[in-house]
Amino acid sequence: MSINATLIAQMLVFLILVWFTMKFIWPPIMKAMEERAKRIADGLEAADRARKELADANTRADDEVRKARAEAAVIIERANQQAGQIVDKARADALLEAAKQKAQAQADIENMAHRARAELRGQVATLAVQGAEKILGREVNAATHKALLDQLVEGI
Amino acid sequence: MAAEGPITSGAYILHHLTYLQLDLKTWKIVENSQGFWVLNIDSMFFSVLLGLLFVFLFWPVARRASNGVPRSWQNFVEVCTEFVDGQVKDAFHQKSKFVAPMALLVFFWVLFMNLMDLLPVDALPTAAGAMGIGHLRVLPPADPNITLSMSLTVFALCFWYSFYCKGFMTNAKEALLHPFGKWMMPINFVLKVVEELSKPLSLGLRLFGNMYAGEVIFILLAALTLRYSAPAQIAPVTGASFFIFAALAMLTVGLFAYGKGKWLRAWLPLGLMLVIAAGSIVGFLPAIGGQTYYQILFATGWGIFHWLIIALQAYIFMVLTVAYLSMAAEHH
Repeated sequence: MSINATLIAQMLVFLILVWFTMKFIWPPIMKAMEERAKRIADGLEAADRARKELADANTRADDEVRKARAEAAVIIERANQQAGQIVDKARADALLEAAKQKAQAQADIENMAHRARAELRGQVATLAVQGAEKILGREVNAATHKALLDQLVEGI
Repeated sequence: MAAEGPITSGAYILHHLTYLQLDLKTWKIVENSQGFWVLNIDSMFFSVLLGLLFVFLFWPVARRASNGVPRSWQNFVEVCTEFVDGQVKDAFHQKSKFVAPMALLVFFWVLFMNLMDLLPVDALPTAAGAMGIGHLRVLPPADPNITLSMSLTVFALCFWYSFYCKGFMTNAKEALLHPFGKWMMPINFVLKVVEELSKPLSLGLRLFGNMYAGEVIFILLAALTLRYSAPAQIAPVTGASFFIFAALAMLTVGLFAYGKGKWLRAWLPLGLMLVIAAGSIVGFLPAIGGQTYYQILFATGWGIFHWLIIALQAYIFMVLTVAYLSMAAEHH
């Protein structure tokens, strides 16, 4: 075991290598690792945030749906009421119309019956005269018997 | 190396413990020179080579580091960096730009240098011998120059960092007034000097001692098998063929075991036993590479234990480096 100049040479090599490692090897590796750690942390944080936001959005959407459903129920209720009203009104209108038409028809019928009766009455007098002529075998003067005939007609 | 006639264990061991040295005064390759102005070329070569290995493993990642999805190699580098960063954060509570990178470098550099111990003791020296290089020690931490220079550098950095963080007066007070108060100043100072000197010495010698001991055991295991030695010319051939045979057998067995039905997995241990048995038979025939076989067997056994020491020593060196720097920065 002898100490010689190798000692000094190796010291120089050692110092150069320490300097090189300190300058060119360690910092970039550590930097990359730290940056990656930060990126991963950021990513995880972002994921957490996104998850929270999603939950919020879901809650909000649920609220909206619930609200919309309630509104729809109100609208349907109102529509139902309206429909009922419309149907009632239509029914009332229809009844009214029907009553009106019925009355009209009755009036018409009355009129027509009246007219027919009047007509018949007129014809009855003539027929009665003609019948009487035939029975009597001679002419009956209508004017003479007018009073009688009128009485007859009145009697029909 | 082994070509020059019969070789004794002592010579073999000595051969493996001799540095390839360069005399800086005469610029000649020398052996066993005791002067100071001598450079251990082998230690320096492998230390620089493994330092560059660290740089080329980590630098590309650092240059292209992205904060996006990391690719496979970047993943590995980041795991290592994070591990070292955690260790530093545990032990070192100040803010510093150089402590953590230094810990990273120290851990991997020392680990790579220690791992050289797992190469077969004769592999690289034999290859170097083929190129005309007489001696080669491939394990830099088994050279006290290497470990002590690193620990002394750490010590110097501690010294500087202590002044940088606490200023001259605080340091002077700490050195002179502790532990016995102002009337015992000289004794306090001597104690402080001993304390400060013991740090780099223990740091460097611990690594050196562990790795040197490990290396010596590998060399001894190799020396133990010397008497089974085949003629040096054919030893590499038989060794290589044994290696290939074993690798092929394992591969075949492995493919059968994992490629088809489950019952075939029984072939894996069976194949292993067959390989060992075949190797043992080969091992009894000294002329066909017994040395290689027994050396692989022994060295594998020790190597598995030694892995622990290799990783542990690298880790301890790193942790203590950080701890000493932390102590230098903190007020006592």
